Amino acid sequence: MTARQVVVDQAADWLMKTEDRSLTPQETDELQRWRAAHPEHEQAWQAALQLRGMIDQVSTDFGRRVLGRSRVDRRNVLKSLLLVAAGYPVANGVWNAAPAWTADYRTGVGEQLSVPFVDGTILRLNTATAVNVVVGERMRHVQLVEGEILLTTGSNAARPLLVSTPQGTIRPMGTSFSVRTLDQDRVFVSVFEDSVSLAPAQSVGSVVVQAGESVTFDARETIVSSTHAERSPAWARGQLVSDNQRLDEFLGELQRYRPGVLRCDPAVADLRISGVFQLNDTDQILGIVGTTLPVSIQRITDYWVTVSAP
Amino acid sequence: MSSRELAPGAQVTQLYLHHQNWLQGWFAARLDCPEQSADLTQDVFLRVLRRQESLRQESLRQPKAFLRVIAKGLLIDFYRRRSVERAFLEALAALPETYQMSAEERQMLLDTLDEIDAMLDRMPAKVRHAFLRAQLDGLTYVEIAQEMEVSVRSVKRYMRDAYARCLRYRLNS
Repeated sequence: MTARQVVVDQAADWLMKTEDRSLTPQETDELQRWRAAHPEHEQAWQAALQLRGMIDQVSTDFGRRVLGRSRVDRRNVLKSLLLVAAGYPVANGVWNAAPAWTADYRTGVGEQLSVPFVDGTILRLNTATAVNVVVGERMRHVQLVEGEILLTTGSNAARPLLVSTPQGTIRPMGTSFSVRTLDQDRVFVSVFEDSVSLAPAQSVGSVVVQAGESVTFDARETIVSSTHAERSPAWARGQLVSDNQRLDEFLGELQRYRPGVLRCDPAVADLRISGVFQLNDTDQILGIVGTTLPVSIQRITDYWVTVSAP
Repeated sequence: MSSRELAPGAQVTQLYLHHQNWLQGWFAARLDCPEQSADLTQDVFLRVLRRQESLRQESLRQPKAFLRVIAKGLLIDFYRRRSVERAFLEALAALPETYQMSAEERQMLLDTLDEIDAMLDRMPAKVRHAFLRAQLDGLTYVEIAQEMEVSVRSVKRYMRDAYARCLRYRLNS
């Protein structure tokens, strides 16, 4: 550790002490002596006071909205930029690795948004979602940065539409379908009308997904396929639907619509739950879980809820 | 050309003359508004000038790699700053308290937020989380520890780390 680091750590310690409580007279003396001992000490302490002043300028509301916004890790931003730099053929060059916070449309946790286009196409954003929309001469691109969208294309869509994710592109053929990023590697597509053509970024061919089918794919290939009988996703109706679903999976889904942390104790993880729940009140959903299943819901804070054995 | 005999200022000039076009192209390929490339290129060389003492021989032997490291940092901060501005505008629109703010006050607040944000952005996620919970939400270390399911000691360590990082950032800038 360099001498400079030691000084900075000492200043940080003093700053913490003064925030915690008021200093005792001895401590005040000690701080004065420390500041006077070396010009670097005083310089570090002035920086500490300036920092304090800056933080005090920011109101809670502003801070939460600006500083507390969801952010991409700096290393990942770098990685995505490097990917472009290396000329990596991600999604045929459509994807320009725009980080989530440069998105054109965005929803926070628990929010939804409907974006109508001139030609009648409707783009719906589910919770915690970010998309960029690029309208080009011959084509419209919807880049799903994170989260989940539902696209219902208009009857006379003038320009073809393309949805791109880092894992691949989805080309609709006059249709209604949803796309969700599951994690860093996988994307989930569900088709409700007509069909879409799906092209994983690193594969040569494409796959057609028909109405009533859902697939999960990564950059190379389709991983899982399943069928459904829905006309639209439940979330677009403001609902969370579960059918004999494991409790940990159910809470994992619910978590997407709730800020803060929702934990499931492994002891109750394989309890089963069925029902149609209204997403506009996630507290109420938790209440129903608490009364219908043998679990106890513990609220440590509003942002930290644990579901465990009673 | 040997850069060894040149004074540091002249070295930067050489670096600039030989690489500014390449660097501007590098930025243009990574920006959605290429007009910014010239500004960011200037910023790279300003940064090089300010840190002349760190111009070591090996960085001059690999000038592109050296410039790219600085350029990447600036590019990340360019996008970060834009996301701050966006969030700031949304907050302005949403918060009634801002009606009484003058244009200068808004600019000052935005600059302050941006500077704090630059520090937060460089923190590990856990450190940043603890710091925000303490500073914005006024949670105690005990509450933060419960929430994060770590010891109070760890929270104190995160907080100290957060402060030290902020101070180092301010002292270096």
